[in-house]
Amino acid sequence: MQTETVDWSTLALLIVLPLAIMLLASGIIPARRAWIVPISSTLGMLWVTIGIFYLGSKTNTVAAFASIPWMSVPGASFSLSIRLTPLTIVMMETIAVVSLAVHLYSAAYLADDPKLKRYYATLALFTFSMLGLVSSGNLLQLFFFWELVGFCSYQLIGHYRTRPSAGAAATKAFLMNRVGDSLLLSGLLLLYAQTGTLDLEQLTHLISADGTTWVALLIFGGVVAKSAQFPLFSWLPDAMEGPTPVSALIHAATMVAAGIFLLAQTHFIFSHAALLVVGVTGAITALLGAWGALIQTDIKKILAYSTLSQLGLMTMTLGAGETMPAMLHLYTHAFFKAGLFLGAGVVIHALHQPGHPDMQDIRQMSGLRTQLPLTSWLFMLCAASLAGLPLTSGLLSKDAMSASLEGTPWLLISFAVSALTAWYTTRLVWFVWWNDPNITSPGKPVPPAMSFPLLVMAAASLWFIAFPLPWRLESFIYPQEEIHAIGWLLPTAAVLNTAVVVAVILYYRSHRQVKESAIPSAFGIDLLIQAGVLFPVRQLAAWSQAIDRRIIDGVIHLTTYATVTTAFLTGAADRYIIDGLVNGAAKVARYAGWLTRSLSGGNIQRYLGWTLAALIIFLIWQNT
Amino acid sequence: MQDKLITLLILLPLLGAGILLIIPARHKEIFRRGALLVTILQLLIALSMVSRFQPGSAMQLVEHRSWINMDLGTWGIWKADYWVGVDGLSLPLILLSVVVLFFAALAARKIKFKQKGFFVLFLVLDAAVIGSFTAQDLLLFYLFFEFMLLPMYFMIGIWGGPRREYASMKFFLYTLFGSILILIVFIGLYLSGSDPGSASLTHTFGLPYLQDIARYTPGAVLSPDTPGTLGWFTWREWAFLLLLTGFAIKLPAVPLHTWLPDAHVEAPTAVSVLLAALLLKVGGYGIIRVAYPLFPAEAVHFSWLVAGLGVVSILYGAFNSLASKDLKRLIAYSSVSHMGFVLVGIASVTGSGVTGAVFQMVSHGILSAMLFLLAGMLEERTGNRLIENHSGLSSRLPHYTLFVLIAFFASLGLPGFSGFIGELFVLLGAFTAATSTGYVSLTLAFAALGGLILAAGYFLWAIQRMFFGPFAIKADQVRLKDLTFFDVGLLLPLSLFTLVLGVYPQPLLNLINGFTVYWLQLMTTHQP
Repeated sequence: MQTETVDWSTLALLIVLPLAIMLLASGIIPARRAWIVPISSTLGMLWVTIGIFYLGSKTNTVAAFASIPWMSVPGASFSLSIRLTPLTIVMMETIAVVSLAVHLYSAAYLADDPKLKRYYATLALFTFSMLGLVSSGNLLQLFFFWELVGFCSYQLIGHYRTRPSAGAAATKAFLMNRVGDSLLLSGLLLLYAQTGTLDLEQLTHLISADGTTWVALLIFGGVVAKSAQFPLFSWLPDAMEGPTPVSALIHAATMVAAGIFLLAQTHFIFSHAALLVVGVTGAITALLGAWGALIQTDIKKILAYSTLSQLGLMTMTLGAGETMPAMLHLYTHAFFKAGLFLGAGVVIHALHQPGHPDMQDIRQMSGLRTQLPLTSWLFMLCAASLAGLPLTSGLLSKDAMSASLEGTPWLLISFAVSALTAWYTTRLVWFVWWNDPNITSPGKPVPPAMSFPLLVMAAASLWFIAFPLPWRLESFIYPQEEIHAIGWLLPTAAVLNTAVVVAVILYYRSHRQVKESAIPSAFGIDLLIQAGVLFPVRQLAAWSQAIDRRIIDGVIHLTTYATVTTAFLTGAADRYIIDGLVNGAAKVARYAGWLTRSLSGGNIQRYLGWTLAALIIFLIWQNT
Repeated sequence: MQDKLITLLILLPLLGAGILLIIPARHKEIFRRGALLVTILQLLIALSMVSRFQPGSAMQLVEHRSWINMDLGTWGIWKADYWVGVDGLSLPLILLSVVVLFFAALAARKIKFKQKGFFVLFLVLDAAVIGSFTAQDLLLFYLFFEFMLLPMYFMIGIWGGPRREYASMKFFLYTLFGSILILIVFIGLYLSGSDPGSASLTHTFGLPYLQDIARYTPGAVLSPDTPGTLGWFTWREWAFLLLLTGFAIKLPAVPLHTWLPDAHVEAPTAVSVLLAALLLKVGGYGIIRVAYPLFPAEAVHFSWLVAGLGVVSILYGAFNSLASKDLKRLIAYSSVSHMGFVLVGIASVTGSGVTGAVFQMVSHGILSAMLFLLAGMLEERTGNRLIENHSGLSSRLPHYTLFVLIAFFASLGLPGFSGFIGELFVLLGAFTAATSTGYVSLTLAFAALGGLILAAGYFLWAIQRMFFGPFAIKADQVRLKDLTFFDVGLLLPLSLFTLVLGVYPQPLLNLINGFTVYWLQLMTTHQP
């Protein structure tokens, strides 16, 4: 592959500078002119997006590197480097487009929000961190942005700070990710201790063909938390506490995508054993997520569990050793999932009544298609892609994964999850848009700043986003040589998914009620974490405090009292026995003063005495 | 060549203290201004020191004069030198000191009575801290080390909170106990080594002399060739353990830390800042400067102990933070936790570990100053510091919340702030040692990592309880006002320091690196 060095000034002009300006502008613009911020930020993001596409057009077929020294200590040094491969360029373009859509959409969705400036500043930092993450040439640099992405999601999930649940969800998201981050960091440090570098390009040459197991599993620990895999997934449904456009960003192009991306970047480190763990984790997550989406009644939570499930599929595919199909699905998923969230946001926005909590329960929003006709069709287009109906990008990317899994047991799970996906998607669409209307309020009109991004995402749910032809897997993302024999898979999947959709529609036409589910939140994982982790930690904390107060301080107080008592007794002996014998009562009064002195400063004198004794002892040793 | 810059840096505050002493106590404002002027001048001197400093291993800006030279007959000549200098370990800590002293002097305008006494003590403490970081003669070092004790004792005991007498006495006894242990070893060292420039009987307190094994009199108490043992350990092992204990009290390391939460909680804001940002560093400095280079073989022998103490401090401190109900107590225990990383870094005896430990000390100095300033600002506004009494502060105090977020996230090691860099290199050192020399075991390295998770736990939980949710305050006196211009003036520069050090740490690393190379040489070439 040809190597070309990216000019840092180009990079700064195209990406870093506008994002820095956006960040600064959000800080400087006075609060009463906060309406400027969405406009300036969206324009800034547009500039960044154009810049990335320009960069992509220049480096589409070559990997480009640039590197400057960053930190060095005796025995270790790290550099900052940019590594652009066709894959990272596609990721950057996806991030930029989705982020731009969210910037524009938020301008309408959060128009009345008092914390608009903070929101846009964090959005800019979020985008910047994610762009930095995917373009990082070494893993430490990647980790740097990895945690920043986590911080930004903390801020955005907790955007509505006065809601206690938002604070709890934000803390939960950051803490769960912190657990993963620590594992990832330890994996990276071990890798560095073993190989002496974290540079991705150098690592590809240094790692033996079999890969490693423990380091790989530690890295995967980071992926599990970031991409919400089993068992660290419950933060993602809770993250729905954030504003809906943020959910679109987190679920599509930033945050959760980072884990899958890291897995793809470091797949050569993984040994067969490690890959098996990855695959099983992915399979469990894919099935659990699909099940969760099937039983939830909150529109955003259904989408959240759906994301879990799709991420699980990607992880499973990566576990089977297939990088490109998983990345392809990450790419197509970004657009239709962003579209679904933006559509859900339109619904929530339209049904919102001042003074009431947001209405998100699908049991209360039946038949909305008459009120929001355009949104309903765009939403359904995105949903079709999620369900994997013909002519959509979702069908093709899922099929790419299935094709790569052909001949392995994973294929079965892949098909099962596909069918479940079609099922829960149809259920969602049916109850939100088609069921008998039971809301009579007309709802607010949809501002163009919201419908336009949705329109773009819906269009991007069709096949042409990645494939020239809707019935062939060839695409710019998917090299020719990696296409497996497909033959029967694609038509089968298309027919199967369509059949499921039709069957589910027919079923719900006669059974119009959504059943309440009795499954505890996050399938009881939260309860388990509560009982198995949080409770012991709090108990340990309480014990530590008790040890501090009772045992350590207890010993110290005891020593002090013992010393003071000894001083008192010595004083008393002095006064009553020795002095009484020698001088009698006259001297007692004089020594009373001495006694009080030894009481208050008994310890100090004692220590000084020891010092003197030590000095004398050493002097004696020296001379004997 | 005798350089006088360091002496100037030490004498300036003493001179200032002398002048303040003769000014009548009724001129209340003049004392703080005087102290502020001294710290500003010190800042300028420190900057000129940095500009003259050549990154490298050598001790620079040295001033070395004969100080005590007394003939004791058959016991030889009692000799101690006035010997000061800076290298890559001292200079970062001196820079930290002058910066923190300046901000502490600013913050000390909240001291409302007996200003004269306070600022005289402040300046004495100032001189003692700078002296400790520069002294190259053990007796001189000990004098400065002890001299920090008294001002601090009075500053907590007079200007402190309700339990100030208990806290100050506890602080005093703990630290004095540690000093005695250190002094015992220093005397032993003095008797065991000899001054190269004089007759063979002349002993020396000179630290660079004592680092050279050839200088030890054969057969002397702490000479490496003395086989004598006491109980389980050799004399030298005992000496190392005593030094470690003495400095671990100052650091502080669990279980020798209980003076710290009490002292911090009772001390006024400016004093808490000095205590956390500077005095703790003297402990870490002592271990790096004195304990390890003088007893390299023993230090390596006990590296499991040092690393173990570090990891226990990290976890135990973090658990105590998690259980703390008082914001200031939470911050105090987080100091214990963060200083544990310093011990782990040192114990690894690797380039990244030691550089990381020094970096972590500087970073913690900035961050703890910020954290205690923030705790003080909360107390000014609501009259108490109990976490449970505050909720939803974010909506009423947005700027205050912003700085709390910065300080908390920087402290929990978010990349982009200095805390991350320090912990990163310490952990890298620990994992490197775990896979090579084994000075830090792999289990301990992983356990230290747990501190990162717990730190996020206690800081974020505090944020969640105090700043999220609906606004509610249970307090007697509420003067809820967002940060003043003055407050921002204190917090903003500190935030910028930690941000700059977190994004581009190389200038500071460059200062430290030369020292680390030299230190590693001491540790390896002098192994018997």
